[in-house]
Amino acid sequence: MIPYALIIAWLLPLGGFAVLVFFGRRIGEPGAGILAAGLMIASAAIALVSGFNWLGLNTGGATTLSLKIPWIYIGDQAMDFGVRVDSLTIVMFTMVTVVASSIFVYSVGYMHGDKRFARFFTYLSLFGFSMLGLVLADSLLGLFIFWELVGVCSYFLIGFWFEKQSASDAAKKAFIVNRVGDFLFIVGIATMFSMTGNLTLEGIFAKVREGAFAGHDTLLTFAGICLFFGAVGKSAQFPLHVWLPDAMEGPTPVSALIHAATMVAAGVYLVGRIFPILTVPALHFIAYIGAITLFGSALIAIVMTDIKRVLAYSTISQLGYMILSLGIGGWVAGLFHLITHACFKALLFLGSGSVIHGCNGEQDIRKMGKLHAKMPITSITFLVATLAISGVPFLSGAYSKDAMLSAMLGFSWVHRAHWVLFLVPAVGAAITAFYMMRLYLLVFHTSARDHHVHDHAHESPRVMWLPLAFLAVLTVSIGWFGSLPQQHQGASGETAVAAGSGLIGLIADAQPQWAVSRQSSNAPHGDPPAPPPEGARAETGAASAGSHEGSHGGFHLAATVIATGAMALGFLLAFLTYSFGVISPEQTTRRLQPVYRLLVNKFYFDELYRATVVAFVLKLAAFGRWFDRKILDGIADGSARWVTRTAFFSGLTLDNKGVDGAVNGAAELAFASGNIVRKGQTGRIRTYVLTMATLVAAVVFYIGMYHYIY
Amino acid sequence: MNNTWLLTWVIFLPLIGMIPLMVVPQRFIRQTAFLFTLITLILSLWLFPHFMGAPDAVFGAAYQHGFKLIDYAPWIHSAGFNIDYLVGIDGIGFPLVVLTALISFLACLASWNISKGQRGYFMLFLLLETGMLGVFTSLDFFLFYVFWELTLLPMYFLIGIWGGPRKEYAAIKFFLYTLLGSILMLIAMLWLYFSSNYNGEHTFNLIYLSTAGVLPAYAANKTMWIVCFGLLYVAFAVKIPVFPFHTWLPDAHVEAPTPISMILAGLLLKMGGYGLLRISYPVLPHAGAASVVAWTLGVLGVINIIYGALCALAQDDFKKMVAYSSISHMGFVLLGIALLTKGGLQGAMFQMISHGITSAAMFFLVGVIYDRVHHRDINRLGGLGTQLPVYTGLSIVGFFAGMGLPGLCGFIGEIYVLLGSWQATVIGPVGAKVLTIIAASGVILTAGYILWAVQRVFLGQPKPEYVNVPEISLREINVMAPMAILSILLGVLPWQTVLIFVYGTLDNILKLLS
Repeated sequence: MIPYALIIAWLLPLGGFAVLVFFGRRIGEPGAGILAAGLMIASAAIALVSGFNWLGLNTGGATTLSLKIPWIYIGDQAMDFGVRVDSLTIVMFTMVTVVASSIFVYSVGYMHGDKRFARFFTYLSLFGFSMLGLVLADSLLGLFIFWELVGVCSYFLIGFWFEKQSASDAAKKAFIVNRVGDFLFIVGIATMFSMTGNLTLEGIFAKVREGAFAGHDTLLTFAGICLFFGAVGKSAQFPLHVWLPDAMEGPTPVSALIHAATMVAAGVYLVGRIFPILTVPALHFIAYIGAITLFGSALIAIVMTDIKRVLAYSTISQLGYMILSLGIGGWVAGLFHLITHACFKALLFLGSGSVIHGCNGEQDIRKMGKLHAKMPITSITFLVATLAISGVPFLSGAYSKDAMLSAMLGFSWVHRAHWVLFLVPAVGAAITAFYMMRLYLLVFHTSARDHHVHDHAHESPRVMWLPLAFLAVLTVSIGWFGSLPQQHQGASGETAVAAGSGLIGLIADAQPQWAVSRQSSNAPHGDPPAPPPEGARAETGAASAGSHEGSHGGFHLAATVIATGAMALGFLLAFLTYSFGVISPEQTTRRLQPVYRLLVNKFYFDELYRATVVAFVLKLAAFGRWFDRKILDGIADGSARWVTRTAFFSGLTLDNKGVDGAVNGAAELAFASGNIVRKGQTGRIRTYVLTMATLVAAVVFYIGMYHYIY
Repeated sequence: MNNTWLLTWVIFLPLIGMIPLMVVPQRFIRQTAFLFTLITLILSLWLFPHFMGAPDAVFGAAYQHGFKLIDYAPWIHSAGFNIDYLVGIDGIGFPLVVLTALISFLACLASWNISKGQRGYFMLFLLLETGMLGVFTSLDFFLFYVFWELTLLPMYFLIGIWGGPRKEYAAIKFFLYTLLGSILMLIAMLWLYFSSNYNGEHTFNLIYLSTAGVLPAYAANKTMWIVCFGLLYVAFAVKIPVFPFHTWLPDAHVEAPTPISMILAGLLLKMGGYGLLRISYPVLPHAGAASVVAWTLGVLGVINIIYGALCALAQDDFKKMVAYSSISHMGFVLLGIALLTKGGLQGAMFQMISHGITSAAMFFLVGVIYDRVHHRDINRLGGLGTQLPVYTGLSIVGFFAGMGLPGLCGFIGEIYVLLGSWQATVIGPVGAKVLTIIAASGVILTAGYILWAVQRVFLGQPKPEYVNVPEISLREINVMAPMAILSILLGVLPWQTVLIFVYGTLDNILKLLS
């Protein structure tokens, strides 16, 4: 029943889209928003009910429900339209519908008075449908299809205020940069398809396990990295991260839903899904990309002054954490962080939207300050999210961040060569705490720097702060009562597994039980220090890393201490700088001028790409146009002239006409064909057409008669 | 022979329509032409039942057995020639016949505002439709050639008389390029005819010619096979069009009136791809399977994809951009065919149908805006999204279908071709992968030129000079809506709408090659 229920929940937003696309303008405000939000809430309700059913059904084993509808054949290979439901699907589906519901409700208030109010909810509904389809898809092809659909929704929504040049530029940039990743995604799909003859995830894993890539380890690594590049594009990882900050041109609810909570996390979700076929080198590649991303963007976030851009770089950085975590084998921890991050980052963005709304569109944090008294609910919820993302104990973010850090510590403890992969996220945790507290203090406390903004600031209406409060409750609580499935020796010697609990336990149920990287003899990637018993799922590195009471509690404790220490250090620096004035930001900026400029200019990536790739392609395009006009047409026109001249010459010698005649002849030849047409214009069309028609009719008549006679 | 004459009726109905067109009063000309294209379309839908059912019954055990609705009549049997009237359809002819009837019908509706020389225009239009239907159904090479040439003349006049400022140049260029191809085809046709031996006689019959033993064996006559293949290839390559024979296309499109552009891109280009599938590969299978041929065609296909997309990126003329996008998209057809995999062939065939719909839609959309603002300079347009929301919405569907967005038809053809060609063995595994990767990178360029154009035309501040531009009319919506709906339908259910009627014939063609 659960797959059917989820399919209905999936189709509800599509129904909303279909209604709104035709009748949206007639329904208008607020009807369109209420319709879209109502359908999304219905989806969320179905998802929650399914989730509770699932809990009843799930008894510790990795249950998978699937449903297939015949769809297409590629060559001879059937490609069904399939839905695959495991506990990760349930968790993701519930997260998307619940977060989307609160954002839809919020949008009814935020988009109030916009002339394209209904259009906004049309796109949001289509996005809801596409994102849920992505979560349900059971094959790489299905993933790719919805992957592109969420991308195009993102394009429409970033460019929602398309009258602004910057908005349409950002939308175009987002789509094209994503296409670079998608191009490699397609190559990866093609590789998997040719080697396994299959595109469903289950089918691919089975074939790989049977040795479809035996002796082609490099090809498998190549395929894994290609597929990963899809995630690099969508999750804005280095070097394709450049689109996400610009995507903040979209309305803030869009930033919260698409560019923080759901779509950008799809890349992480993809890596989680294809994890079993990722080889050790591919995982190393992934881990280092994640590390570079999380560190670089965290640094940039320190110097940004636009409230949404700070959050955008923070999102990139947090996605880098997840990618890194998956790369080192911390599967459960990475996906756990995906869910907790979705809640607190959506809350942060909605909070920033509330601030922007309350300050009449002002986004520059240098002009804000002392807003706490003016908008207390926004301030408190924003603070909750700030503390959660920084990793304050007992908030959801702390659980997932500790889980990731302990996985990373465990990994680099075993693989000493990769010590950077723990150092970077640990330092990153301090930076995260610093820039988030800086943001919070500058916006809600310190001094009111622009009195115009401050005087007119006001709290947002209830339709907007209710979702904030709701998400704040989630942000605090969803990490609680979590435990991983535990494995212990039964009385008769067989291993028994006790089901995990809470969110992390549910995610851990979906953890792949088999992966290429764990088969590798020379580098037991992500394995815990002690070699695990064969097939013991709870004993893999990922699980142990996220474990709260596991046998590797030592790592967990150490990581928690380090993470909390880093957070405290970050907070301390932020308070010293922005509250107590001990450190002067201006002085520091001046002293570190080159570094500051590098960061403010985001490491010059936009400029670099514009000067190299974009310029090169445009040059190439201009060359193509020139080649077409001058060379190819030149040859064609030139040979036509040559023929004309030859004809002229032979006419001269053969007919022995005088020079006058020859000149006339040449002119006639050159324009003869043109003349036919030109004469046709002046009334001879009919003659031509009639002649032709008569001839054709005669032929047809002849054939008919012939047949009739014989 | 049990002639049903159904197919013959479909082919010649437009031609019959020319007779009333000669005599009806001026004000009924459009309606008469409309009626005949409509009846042709309805009649073409009558072909569907013949392609429903078990695969073996529909496609036959071998390529030669897969033809349906064959109409036969002896035609010229003197002076040693065996020329017949022989038409029939199989999985590759059938969808193209329906597409031709559909796009012609829509193009006829799009021709409503042609005011100059209406009678001549619609007569030529109907003649063109018969020519195209004939090409897609002929099973006698000579008849094929006749119909092939028959499409040339009306097109020449339709561009040359009803075209834009440089119409003479464009018409002559189109004519000469195609004629060059035709002459080469004629040579190949006669060569094949006089080499063939079917029960002691020469034959133009394409079914017989594709039967093993009718032509001299490949092993002993490699030169003849390869040269004939090359001659036919040039003839078809001009039509597809393949680099470097493509430069007639942008000129022809820019000058042609909107409905003629729809036909040109939507249908006439398909004659090239169809010719490869109907004649080149079945008649000369071993030449097609030669690695030098596969390499050449595969590389040219990839060049088309990339080069066409790059040129599209550099255009300022909206219609020229769409024309170059056609070149890029038809590259997928050539690549899919050249590398001889099931998936690739299915993709190529699907791409022909989907491109028939999307390119016609894109040219129509460009025509709609041209009718209103009388120029096509992308840089001078802008902000139409605010003023013409319905037109913009329909345009987004059309252009995104062309861009290959999943859920719309353009995606299916591309992904099939890419997945198929990746697995190709005919040019070696490495070669196939290199070509596929380069071809796949075309998706970035495609997104680039489409989105850039969309941004410059539809997005941005509304411009004062276009404030009074009227929204798309009901008639224009009626032209565009079927194409938009089909774009979505084919994108969501590609197998059920197209490929199920196609795959068996393609499999049978591949069997000829092994």
